[in-house]
Amino acid sequence: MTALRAFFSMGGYAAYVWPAFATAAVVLSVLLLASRRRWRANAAALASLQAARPGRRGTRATPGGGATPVAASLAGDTAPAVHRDA
Amino acid sequence: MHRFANPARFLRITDAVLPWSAALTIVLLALGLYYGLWASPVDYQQGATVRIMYIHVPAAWMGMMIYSLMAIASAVALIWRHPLADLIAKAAAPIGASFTFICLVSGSLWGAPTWGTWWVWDARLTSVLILFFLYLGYIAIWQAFDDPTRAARAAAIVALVGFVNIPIIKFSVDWWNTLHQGESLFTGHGSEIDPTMLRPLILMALAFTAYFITVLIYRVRAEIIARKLRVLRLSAIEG
Amino acid sequence: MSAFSALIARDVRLAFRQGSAATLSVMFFFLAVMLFPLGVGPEAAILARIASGVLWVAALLSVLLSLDRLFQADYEDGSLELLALSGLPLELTVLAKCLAHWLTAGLPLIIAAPVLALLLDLPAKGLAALLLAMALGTPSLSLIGAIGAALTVSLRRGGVLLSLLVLPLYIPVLIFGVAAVEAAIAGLPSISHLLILAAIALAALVLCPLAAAAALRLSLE
Repeated sequence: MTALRAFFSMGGYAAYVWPAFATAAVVLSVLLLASRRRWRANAAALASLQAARPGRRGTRATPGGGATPVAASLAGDTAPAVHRDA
Repeated sequence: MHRFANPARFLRITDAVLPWSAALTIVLLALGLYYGLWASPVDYQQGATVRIMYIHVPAAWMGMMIYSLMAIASAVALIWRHPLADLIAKAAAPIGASFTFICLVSGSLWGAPTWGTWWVWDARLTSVLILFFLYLGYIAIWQAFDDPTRAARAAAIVALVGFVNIPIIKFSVDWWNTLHQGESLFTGHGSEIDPTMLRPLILMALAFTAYFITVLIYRVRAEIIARKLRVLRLSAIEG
Repeated sequence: MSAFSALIARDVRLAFRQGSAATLSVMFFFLAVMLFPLGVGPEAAILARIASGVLWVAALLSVLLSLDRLFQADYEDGSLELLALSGLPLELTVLAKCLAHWLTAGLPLIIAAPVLALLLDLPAKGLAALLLAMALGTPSLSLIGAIGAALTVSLRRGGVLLSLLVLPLYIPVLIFGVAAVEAAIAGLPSISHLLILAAIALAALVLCPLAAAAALRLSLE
């Protein structure tokens, strides 16, 4: 128990050590969650947009093998062929 | 290099990498925190505040490493017009800015008990503060343009100009600091480091790197889909 | 070469014809410096101590504020596109405009600096170093600023972004500009600081037109 208390008191420097670790934890968690949420939201928006306009997908997608719908549609992405060959 | 230019291939590769980088982040972070907070001795001068080093120093490394990566990606984007390099640089910037921010805050929290003040115009802290502003400028220029291709090229120029200037700024700030050093507050940590302290330091640096890879993959994927969405929406307006 | 000098002459003439551009920079320089005694108090000892830094910071901000006129007007009325299409490489066009900008925004500050140095009680030993340092340092400010001005030329509200991009890059000039003056005041040779300022100016002379021209091209397309 005393070991635990000593751990949390950080030799009297608890007011400095723990906020430093907490800041890192908060910033990194928020960034991770925000990045994940944005990815999921974008993927969902793309899926619904393609579901609403199924005709476009067939014309746009290039042979992408057995990739997921998202990946298949991305294979025909905006990157001009010139740039890929250059 | 152009093997990775295809976004579909990028998605497939990162699909394989993502679970490993995520798992590695958790494992390394747990080990790093265990050794950093518990199973390492305290400094005989600084006491337990030395534990702040285990996030402060790796965060500073990440801040510099990510800016270098952004500069390389920007050069690749400008020279070869690689379609993913822009997105990687764009996606990396907020992560680098976050690490730089963590470095500044933890440095300040470390300075308060060891130097007796929250902020010291120490050469390293000042350089990191300037690096933070370079990150903010880079992020701001991405947001300033409506057209993503223009934004990408403007941002690439900003990243490269900043990268060329970093050594000059660093040199001048170091020089300025030695000129103005009043009472020598700086204890010179990191010069002679005990192996028991080196272990958590390396573990945390690796954990941060794994974290960076994980979040970078999420962010680049979000950017790829956003670009696709933009094209689809534009074609919906036009057609 | 004639197109190059003609462009400089044109820009200088425009800056003076608008009646304001060049004099406004100097007026801002005076006002910004004047704020410091009002802010920190009139004690001569304190003012003399901070004079070199105040003068440099005010000069930095004054140049920064005048950067928007480097390309903005020419971009808006379309003459920048004509300049880009003319035989002169865009890099040289940028260089000419930077030189004209320095003549109308940097040089007036150097002329005004002795008066302000007197007002701030800058030790007389530092005056020569101040003028030399400003002569070597302000061209870099115009050249580095050109990159930021070129990047933000097509943006409606580029002003704050411009300062965010440019000010961190001005730090080396500020540090060595002030150091040259401080060294002279302390009776030490300031030649090494002046040489570093000259080196920065030469590097900026080569690299900044390239970067600024690349930035202009993306707005002109």
